[in-house]
Amino acid sequence: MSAARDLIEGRSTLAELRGHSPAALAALCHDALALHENGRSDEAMVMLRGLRALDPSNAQVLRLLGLMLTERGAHQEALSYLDDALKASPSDARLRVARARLRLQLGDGQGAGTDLRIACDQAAGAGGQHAALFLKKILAEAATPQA
Amino acid sequence: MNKRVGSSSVGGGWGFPVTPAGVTSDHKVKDAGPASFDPRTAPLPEHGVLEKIDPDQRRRQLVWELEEELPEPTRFAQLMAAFMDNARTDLDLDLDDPSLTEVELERLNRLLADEAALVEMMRKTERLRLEVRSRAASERAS
Repeated sequence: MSAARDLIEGRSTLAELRGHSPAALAALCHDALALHENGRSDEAMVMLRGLRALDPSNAQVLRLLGLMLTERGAHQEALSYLDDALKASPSDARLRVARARLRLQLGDGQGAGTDLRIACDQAAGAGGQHAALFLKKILAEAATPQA
Repeated sequence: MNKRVGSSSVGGGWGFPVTPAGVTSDHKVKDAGPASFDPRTAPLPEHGVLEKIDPDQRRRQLVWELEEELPEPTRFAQLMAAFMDNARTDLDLDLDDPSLTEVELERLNRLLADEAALVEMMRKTERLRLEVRSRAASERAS
């Protein structure tokens, strides 16, 4: 079996073939986030897309891509990254909260509610508390008749 | 004067400890009355007050937080040097593999192009990233 085929079929990653350490990829996530926070969003996106090429199932990279694309209004693409991130890390309550927020923006209140309920059940820590708060807020908004 | 500003509300709405007379416990505030309230010199908000004021803000921060701490500068430099060394190595990827379909070949080329763009961006933004990182480190230390 060729290395190219292993890559395509997800049996290996470019990061593994290159010998990159997970710590280096995590450190680069910090740099990408810092660039984004300093208004260099385009550069941050290039870095994150590169990191995704190196490790396509890195939940942290996928989460940041999803969040940045959400801010840029590329909602469908953002959603696909958050979906992938949740496949890689299904018990991450923060990811569920992020996807719930995006689903709400896309008009999928039911999907958002499902994500938040799962997040509430999954996390006893801060992620779960915030999911509970968020859920309470959207339920209250949903119950308020629109003027 | 704005009706919302009063002896019981000044500072309190933002989480600064107040008494009916105004801000307390800060030696820099000579007159603790409402008129002397200055957010630049007032004591820091109580823990947890940000969540009370704006749960969305805290949630947003939480959602963006990274799992790993920002490595120390020396460690960061080591990681980046190793990364750039590894990025320069030749990969034994057979792009002429006849079993690869056109779509698969395109996906592979896309991966390699994205990786190359990352390395190029790292070169271009090296100084900027270093600057931003040292600013973050000094903010964390203070």
